[in-house]
Amino acid sequence: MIEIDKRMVYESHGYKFKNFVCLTEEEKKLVLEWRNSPEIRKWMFNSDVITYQSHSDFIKSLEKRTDRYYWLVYTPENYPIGVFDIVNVDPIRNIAETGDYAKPQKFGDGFYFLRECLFFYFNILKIENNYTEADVDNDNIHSLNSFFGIKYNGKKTTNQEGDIKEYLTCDSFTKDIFNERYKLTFRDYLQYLKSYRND
Amino acid sequence: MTNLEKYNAAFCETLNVEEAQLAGLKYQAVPSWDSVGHMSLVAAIEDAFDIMMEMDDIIDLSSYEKGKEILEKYEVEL
Repeated sequence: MIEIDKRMVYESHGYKFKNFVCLTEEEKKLVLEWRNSPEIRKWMFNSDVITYQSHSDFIKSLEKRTDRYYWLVYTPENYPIGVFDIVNVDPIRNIAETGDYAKPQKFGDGFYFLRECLFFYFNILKIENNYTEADVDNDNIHSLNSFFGIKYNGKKTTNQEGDIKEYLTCDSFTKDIFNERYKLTFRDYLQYLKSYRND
Repeated sequence: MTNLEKYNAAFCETLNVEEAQLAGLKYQAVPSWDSVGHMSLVAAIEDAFDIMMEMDDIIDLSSYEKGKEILEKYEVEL
C-alpha cells in the first residue's frame, strides 16, 4: 500500500480523485447535497440529514487521520460524479473497507465509476485486499458487486437508535480477482445480469 | 403473457414500480431508475424479447413510451 498524499489529486484512466481536505466550499456543499439526498442516505449507516457544520467539522478532522480517506471523483469529461472512501485502513494486513456513492448523470456512469474506484483502490493505492458491505436491500449494487468479483461471505446487523439495518459483507475480495474483471464492459454486465436475474 | 405485459413486467420488476406509474415514467424520475437500474431494465427487456439492443437504443431508452418506440425497430409489437 502506498503512503496516501491527501494533497494529491490522483488520476486513474482520466478519472480524478480529489481528497476531501482539498475541496472548495462549493465542492463541499455539493458532496453534502448528495450525501443528504434521500436516495443516497437511505443506504448509509447514518441515514440522518447531516448539517453543514457537522460536515465541515468532519472534513477538517480528516486532515490528521490516517485510518480513513475520502475523495470526490470527477469523470474524464470533468464533471463530479461521486464519492469514494476507504476506512479502517490497516497497512499491516494491507486491507481497508471501501464505500462509495454516486450521482450519475448519464447511462453507464455508475458502472464505470465503480469500476474505476476499484481500479484506483487496488492498482494506484496498491491495497491488496478489500472489505466491503452493502445494505441487504440494495439489489442494484449487489449485482454490480457480484459482477466485479465480490462474493459476500458474511452478514452484519446494526442498530442505530432503533434503526436496524442488515448488511451483506465480503472480506475476501482481492486485487487479482478484480483485475481479471476490469477489462469487461457494460455490455458484458448486461449479459451477466440476465443470468444473475434468473438465479 | 402478451408482449405488452412482458414489457410492463420488465419495468415493474426491475424498477420496483406499480403498473399505474408506468405511463409517462422517465429515466431518473424514480430513484430505482438510475444508471445502474437502467442496465437491469435493459437486461430484463432484452431477456423478455430475446433481442440485443444497440448501444444508441440503450442510451435512448429514456422513458416507458420511448422504449415502446425502440422495440418496434426490433420487430416487437406491443
